[in-house]
Amino acid sequence: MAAAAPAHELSSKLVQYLDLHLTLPIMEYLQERGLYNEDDILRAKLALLDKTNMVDFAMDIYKGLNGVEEVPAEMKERRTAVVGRLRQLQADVDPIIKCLQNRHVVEKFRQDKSFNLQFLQEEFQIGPEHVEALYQYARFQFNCGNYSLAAELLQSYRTLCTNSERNMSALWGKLAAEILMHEAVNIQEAREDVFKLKETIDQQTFAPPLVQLQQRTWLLHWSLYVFWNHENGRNDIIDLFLSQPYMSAIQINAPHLLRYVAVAVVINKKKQRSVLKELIRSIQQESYEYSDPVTQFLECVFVHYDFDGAQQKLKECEAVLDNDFFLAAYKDEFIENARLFIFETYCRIHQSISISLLAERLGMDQEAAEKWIANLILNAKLNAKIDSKSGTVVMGTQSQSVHEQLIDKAKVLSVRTYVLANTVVGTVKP
Amino acid sequence: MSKFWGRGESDEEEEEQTSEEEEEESSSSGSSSSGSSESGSDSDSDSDSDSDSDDDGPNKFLAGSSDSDSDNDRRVVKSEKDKRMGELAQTAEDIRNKMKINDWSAIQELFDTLNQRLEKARKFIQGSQMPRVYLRLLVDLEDFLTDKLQDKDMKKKMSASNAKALNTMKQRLKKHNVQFTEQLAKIRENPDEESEEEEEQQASSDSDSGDERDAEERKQGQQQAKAKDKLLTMDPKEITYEMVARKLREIIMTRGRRGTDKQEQVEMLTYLVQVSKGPAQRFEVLAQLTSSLFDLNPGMKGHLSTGLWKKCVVNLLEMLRILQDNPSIKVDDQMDAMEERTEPPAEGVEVKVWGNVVAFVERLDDELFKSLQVIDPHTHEYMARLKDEPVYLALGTKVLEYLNRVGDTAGAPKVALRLVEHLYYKTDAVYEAMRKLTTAQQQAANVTVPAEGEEGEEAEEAAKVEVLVPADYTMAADCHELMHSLVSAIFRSGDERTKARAMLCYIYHKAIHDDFHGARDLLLMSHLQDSIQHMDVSTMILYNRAIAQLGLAAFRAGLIPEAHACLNELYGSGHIKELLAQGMSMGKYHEKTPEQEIAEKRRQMPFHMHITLELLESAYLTCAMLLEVPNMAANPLNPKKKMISKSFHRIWDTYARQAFTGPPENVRDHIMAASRALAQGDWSKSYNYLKALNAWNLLPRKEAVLTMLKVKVQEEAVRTYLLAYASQYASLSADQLAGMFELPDKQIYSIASKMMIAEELAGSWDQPTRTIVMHASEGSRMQRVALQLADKAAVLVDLNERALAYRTGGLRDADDEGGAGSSRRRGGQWDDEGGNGRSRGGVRLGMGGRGGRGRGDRDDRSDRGGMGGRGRGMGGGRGGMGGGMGGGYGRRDGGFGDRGGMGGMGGMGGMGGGPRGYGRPAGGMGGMGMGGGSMSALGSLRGPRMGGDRERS
Repeated sequence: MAAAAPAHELSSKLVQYLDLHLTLPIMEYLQERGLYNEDDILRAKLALLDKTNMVDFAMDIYKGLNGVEEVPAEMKERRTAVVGRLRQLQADVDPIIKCLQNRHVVEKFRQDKSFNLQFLQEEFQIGPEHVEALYQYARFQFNCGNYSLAAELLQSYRTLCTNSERNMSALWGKLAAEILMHEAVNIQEAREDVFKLKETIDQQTFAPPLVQLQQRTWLLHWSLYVFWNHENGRNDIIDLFLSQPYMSAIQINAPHLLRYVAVAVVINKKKQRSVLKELIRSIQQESYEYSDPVTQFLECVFVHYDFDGAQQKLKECEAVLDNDFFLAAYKDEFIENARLFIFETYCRIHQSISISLLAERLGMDQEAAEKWIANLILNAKLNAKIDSKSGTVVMGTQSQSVHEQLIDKAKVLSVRTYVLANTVVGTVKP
Repeated sequence: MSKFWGRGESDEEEEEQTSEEEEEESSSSGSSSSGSSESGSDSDSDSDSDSDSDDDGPNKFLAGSSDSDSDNDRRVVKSEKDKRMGELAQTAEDIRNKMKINDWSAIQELFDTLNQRLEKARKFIQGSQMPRVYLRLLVDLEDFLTDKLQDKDMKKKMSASNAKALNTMKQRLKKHNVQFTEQLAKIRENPDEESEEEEEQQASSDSDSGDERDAEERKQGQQQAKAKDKLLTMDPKEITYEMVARKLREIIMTRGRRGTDKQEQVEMLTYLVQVSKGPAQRFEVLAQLTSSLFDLNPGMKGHLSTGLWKKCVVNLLEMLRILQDNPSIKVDDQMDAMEERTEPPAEGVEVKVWGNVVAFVERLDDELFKSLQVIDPHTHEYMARLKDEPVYLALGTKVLEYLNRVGDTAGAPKVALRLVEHLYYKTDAVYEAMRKLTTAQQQAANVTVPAEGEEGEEAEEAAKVEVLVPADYTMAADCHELMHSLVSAIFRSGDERTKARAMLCYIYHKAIHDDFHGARDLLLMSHLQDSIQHMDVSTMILYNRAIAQLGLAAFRAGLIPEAHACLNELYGSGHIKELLAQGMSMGKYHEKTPEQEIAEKRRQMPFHMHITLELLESAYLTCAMLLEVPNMAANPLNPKKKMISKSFHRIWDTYARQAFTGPPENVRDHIMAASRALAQGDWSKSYNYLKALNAWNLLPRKEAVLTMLKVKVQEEAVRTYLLAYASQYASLSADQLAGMFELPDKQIYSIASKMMIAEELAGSWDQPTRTIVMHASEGSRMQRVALQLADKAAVLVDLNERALAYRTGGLRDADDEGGAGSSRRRGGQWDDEGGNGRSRGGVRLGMGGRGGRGRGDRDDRSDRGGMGGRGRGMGGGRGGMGGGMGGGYGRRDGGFGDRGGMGGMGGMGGMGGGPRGYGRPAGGMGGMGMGGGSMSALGSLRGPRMGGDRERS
């Protein structure tokens, strides 16, 4: 599979950190794109499903793959086994489910989990073994591809579970289930879960660093599903990925994630300024380990000031983004913003630029470029004038005279001193 | 009497023992005659008269009467001698008596008295001949002693003080007897004759019976001695398991006691090895033999001689073979080696034997290391010793295999670490050479070289052993893989120190194999730079070595700032030799105590492990030059303001002060000449100076490095040129620049653009004409000073704000990186103002977050404070730059600088000196935190460890 992989295709790296079920959508996407041999993907899918309980699905794929109507006996056996186990689990879990479906019971639940357990024990003779069965059942349902049920069950389980480790894995399961349900409501919930998980991971003060690192890396990968499908995701992704511990995790374990941060930063105009430097630094640091057109583009623009190179990279980026499961939808936005990046930076270091060259750089024809620039000037985004006679854009001077600088500084000083003095007075006589 | 028959020598002895007046008289005369030339006490005439005294008594009488005075004198002499001899005899007698009752403490005392008396009697003794009675006593004592020593049961029964006295006696006697060896031997040759004589002579005396008994005893003793040696003499086939076991226990018992003859023990054990029964016993004996061999080495200072070392190796290999062939044998160092065992263990039954293979291997390594420290590295001996390394590696590998087989997780990492420490500093070429040598040795061993002397034999033996090493040792063709497997094994089960050392070795190894990033990541992930201060000195040295190599690796890769960050700490201290344990430099201001010196000597690195200091210095100064020259050009007003490399500045200043500068000779001269050229924008001259450095020849890929250097020099020259002369231009053509510095347009463009963005260059491109148009003209001096004033005022306000914030609790301790320790640290900082300014309290700073506030320039502050306390801080300003510099190599931003300045600010209360670690949440990523960026973390590597150590002491 990897042999035939197009350049900068990340799936194989991503799946290392994903749940089996989570990889299915990626595979389907790849199938659609036709990047790989379809049979290969099907085979991979089959291997994957073999480990889950989605036997029917596996059978279908097998049929499709081999072009036969009959499936091997072991698959059938497995199906029987799965069904049998399902029955058994259902029987185990029946009392607690019934009880939980009872609205009145749930209303009586309180914050204190041990109290709840005791309450159930007393009222309904539901002991810890039932709670455990609930967990097993939820997991089984999840494995069968019954995500919504699994999410629901896990939600209930979490209200009863006292073991923090279990609680955590239930949370992971819930997150996965929510992601896989593909619905806006669930994405919102999933987003909350991501933050819950983040909190839990950060609070594990006693966990070995390696485990923590691993969990963070997982979370980063899983959150890709959530953030890229949520309207506020691009802010979240920047916040999460660039926060200190997670950036470390990226640098250590998964430098390929830099692509997602980079794209998020490029398309997020609001936050750009503040985080760009940090991002560039990380990219530079990791460049020996990971680099793809997206990161190279940023390097070209902000490190080497190589605008021709940036142009080149931008073209490559298009292809890369197209093939990326998460980013395909953001391709246009990215390209547009990237272009703006180039232009802005270009303007910052130039006094006058010929429009024809600019047009070339921006990949537009001359007239469109002139219009585009005129618009920018109109919107007061650019301090410049167009000299149409010579066909150039002349930038307004940005430099401050010493006098101005001095005045600015003095102003800031006086403001700060004033504030300070006020505070001091305030503290002296309260 | 008899004296007259005998020759002069025996005469005297007999005479001394006789008690008859007459005899004595004559003896004294005889002695005086024989020794007249020496003593000179008696005149010639006397001797003449004496000589015929026997024949004509009256004459003598006459003579005596004629010279009554002299006669009187003589009498006195005679009687005194008599008395002395009598005393001697008496004491000897007493000793014999005590011997009978085995009272050694009494014997010891008496022996002392005897010697004192002998001393007094000495003037009567001519030549070196000792009184016979004395000599005989010595003989008896010696024999008796040997007997007693053999008799273990007896010894056990003895009281502690008695046993002690026995040992003391034994030792003293041994030393004492050395001077009379010959005479004693003579006495031994014909003891009977003498005893007969004595019997004759002393028939009436009490001593007679004692003497007889003594003789008997001696005979018994001889028989016993024979019994003891039976083991040595008897047919090996007849020796039983039990005999060997008993003998072994005997030896173990005496081991370590004072006065045991170690050499003899070793010989005995060597023999025992040959006759031992069964593998378990053989192993036991070998283990004992090895530790006895180690004992032969006196004290910690000296090293085990090469021959012994090799013997040990051979023994160990033998032990390992036994262990391999007999899985039923279990080694246990907790076990009592004295345990009674009379029957050989049955086949296949698990046997526990005493021994600690790991300890042996470690000891061997220590000895090898010590010998390499001591041997002059320019001799063949050193080379020969180095050739033993493969042998050791083979041994280590085998031991490791064994330990892994038995699942010894405590020992395995230790041995693995030893191996790692032999491998880590080897470049591929060296490793390859060693491999070839090993193979060659093996082949040579196959051909069997004729042995030459002991040494040759040993070598051959060792080489033969090499052949026995399973192929996997020689197979480890790839040093990296070997390292990797060893290190990961250590990480699995090693203790903290072992892990840290292994990590450092691995970092070093990666660094010398040009894997800078890998090495850096390892270092940062391990967080060793934080914990290294709490480790032992040798680990600190290893850390320093690793850092030095890391710096060199970065340099080779063209990562100048990184290389500088690594090397700066090492060079900043000026104690580079000590830090790397490659020789001792004489401190000007502090004398070392002898203990310190010895300790320092002990941690020196052997020559073959040295890092070439010249190369290190060249690399460091080159880096400093490349960073510092543009920096100086950027701040022409106050070059010290944002100093990057303090030591570079020091050298630069010295160089600038020189009235005449000759052609460069050493590294510094070259760099300085290059710097000067660079400062003027003359890159080719600068590059040529750099190229002339000899140290580059040591680089494996010299050409690549020089090419890299050339480009760097060109780039920095452009930057310097632009910074220095931009204000003189209204516009600058890119083509002209490209021509001047022989760089491609694109690079010029990139460099200039970078400077524009960073606001170092007040200009912008005019794209159609390809020129840089300068905008702002440099302000007048007045304006610049005004700006400076504003900056300083800002600093003041900033400090005030923070002081207030601290008071109101807005700034918690936690804001300091150091957390709890911070307040203490701060206190320390003000107090020891005058201190040597190197308190590496260890504020690690990743500057970053707050840079923009321009908490710049501490020097200014300290000026203002008027306290003049110029620390080393170059702090905040650089922090401010942090972002722009792409990572703020906030090495010293922790600046303990300007304590005076801070103090001068008066009542700044809890404000610590120096910016603290804002924006660096402590602990991030649970031990994995990459800092505010790896590089800034690397920047703050707390460099030389020993510095701190030295100061403390």
